[in-house]
Amino acid sequence: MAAAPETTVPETTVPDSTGPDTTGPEAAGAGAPAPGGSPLLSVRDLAVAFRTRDGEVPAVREVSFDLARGEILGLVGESGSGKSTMLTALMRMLPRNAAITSGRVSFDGVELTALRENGMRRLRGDRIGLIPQRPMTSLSPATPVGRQLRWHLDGLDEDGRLRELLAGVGLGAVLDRLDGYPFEFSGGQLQRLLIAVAALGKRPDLLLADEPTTTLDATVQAQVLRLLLELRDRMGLAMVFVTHDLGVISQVSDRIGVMYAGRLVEIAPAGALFDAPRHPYTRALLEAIPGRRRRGEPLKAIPGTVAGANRLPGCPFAPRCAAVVDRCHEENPEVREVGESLVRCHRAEEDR
Amino acid sequence: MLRYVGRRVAGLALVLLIVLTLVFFMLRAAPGGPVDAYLGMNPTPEKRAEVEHRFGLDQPVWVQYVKFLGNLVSGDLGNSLFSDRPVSAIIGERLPVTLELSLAAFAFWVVVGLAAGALAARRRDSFTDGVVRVVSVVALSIPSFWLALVLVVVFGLYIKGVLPSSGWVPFARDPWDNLRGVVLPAFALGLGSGAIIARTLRASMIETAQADYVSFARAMGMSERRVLRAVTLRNAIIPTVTVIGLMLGVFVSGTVLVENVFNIPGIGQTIVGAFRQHDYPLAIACTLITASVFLVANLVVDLLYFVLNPRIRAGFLNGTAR
Repeated sequence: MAAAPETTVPETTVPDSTGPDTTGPEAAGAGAPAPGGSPLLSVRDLAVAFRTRDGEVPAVREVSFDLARGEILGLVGESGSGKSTMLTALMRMLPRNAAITSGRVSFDGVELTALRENGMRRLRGDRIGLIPQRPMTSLSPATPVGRQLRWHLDGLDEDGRLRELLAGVGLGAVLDRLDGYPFEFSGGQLQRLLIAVAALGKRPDLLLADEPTTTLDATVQAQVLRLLLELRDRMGLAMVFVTHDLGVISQVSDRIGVMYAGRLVEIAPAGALFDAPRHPYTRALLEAIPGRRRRGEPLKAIPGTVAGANRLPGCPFAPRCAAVVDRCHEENPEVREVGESLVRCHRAEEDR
Repeated sequence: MLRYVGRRVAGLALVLLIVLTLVFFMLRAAPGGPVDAYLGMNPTPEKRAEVEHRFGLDQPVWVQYVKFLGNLVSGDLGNSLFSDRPVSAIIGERLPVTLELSLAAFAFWVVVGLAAGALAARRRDSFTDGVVRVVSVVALSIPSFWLALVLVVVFGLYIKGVLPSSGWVPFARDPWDNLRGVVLPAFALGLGSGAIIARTLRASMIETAQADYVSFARAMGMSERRVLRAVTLRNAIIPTVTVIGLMLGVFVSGTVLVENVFNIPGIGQTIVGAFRQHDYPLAIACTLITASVFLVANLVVDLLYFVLNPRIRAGFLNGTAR
């Protein structure tokens, strides 16, 4: 028996596709390139490759996008689509066996790929913040939490500063527990502590959030999302928000980028993406969301896996695509502008 | 916490009793005996009986055992069968020598091992790292007695006069000569342990370096140096402490070999002599000392864990750990 998705699926995981009014005030006006003036972050043709025993494996390819101040860009994709790798590349904190192989990343006029490690370190934290994916393991287990906050934030001991910081993330109650160790806190508390450090305390211009809610349960997830949106409104920070949960991303993003096999296959304002998905992969993703289909209908899945798609010539999605034509296997589609979307698909303009 | 220590000390006493009992009966079950060792070849039956009586060996074994336990409780370890001096006096002479040797080796090799391990981990895959890895494997595969023999030969025959290769000068008589005499045996005694420390620290630092909390600290703009000190080392040291504790146990057996090769009058040399001559009281006393050192070292490591690992500490404070 198919359960009614309206009652069993927590609200936060059901994306609302009724219109742009649910996706944030800026969403409606945001075009595909970042609106207004020079963007805070500009990524052009970014490529990241892993060195393996079998040679170089591309993890991110030809990714380009702009991000304005105060804007939230959501990145969705399956596991292995390169979204987390891209965030790590933006931080220049790739693992030892990975490297940026080409492309440019311009942050507030500074070319990050050309920056020396020392200069990059000065940007980290203070200007480009990161909210990690796994809050439970992101603080050192051997040091009291309060001391770790002091590592990263100066002047915490001034009157009320710490209280203010914790209240800002709704953690006023743990003020007297800061001599405790990370394992004495819950995942939601730790995630909010990390947000307190990375966003509230450091006040960066750009915040990279790597699946910040995936390890949290649904109610905490909603609190954290609300907190992040609030911080954006209050501090005007720009955010790249990575997740594989379309429900989450529809709630926070102004624009959404869809990644597949290391490529950004579609990027569009949030409302437009849900109303008129242009790429067959985006369409398939939306189809696969429980609750969008009528009761009793079987859930749709995308056949096949993303594995190995990075190495194919042509469009990486071709082997799993419902609308595939011969051309897709031979030629990688260029970026086209269709409506409000930027799409990499040979058949994007066709009305289907 | 105090209750925990108390319980551990009680357990320790029990283990000691079991060990001593085992040694007591094994010594008596072994072929030969102190009488043969004392009298040499073909003694007359009368002479045998006299010596047996003097050593108290003409009584049934269980009577000997009860007497032994009684004396042990009152702190009397008896006299050596051969020199007829109190065993406690002999131990009192020999133990400081072994302790000095062990502590010197321990201090030197812990420092060298930790430094080499940290350096190798920090410059992973560099030339330095390669040197540390190769040298530590070689060091691990060298038995300490063989290394001791080589050192004796080299410094006794070829490079004479630099470092003494045999014997022992008490610190009180000549501190400088005493320290020079410690160098070679301490080197041989701890080389393998130093290698294990280096390898353990290197491995756990490399593992820790990939932890989420290290990435986050770096992502917050913390300098590499501070990340290394405050985050990586602080967490990587916990498994290394276990190894350092085990090292103390290795030293107990290591001194037996090294002291005999370098002709050093410590517990290690005494214990070999005592067992060979079936000098029951002395052998038991040496066993008591070495076992105690080993057990206490283990206890100290467990308590260090308590200090270093907040999870274990919290477990004790709220009573979930026993």
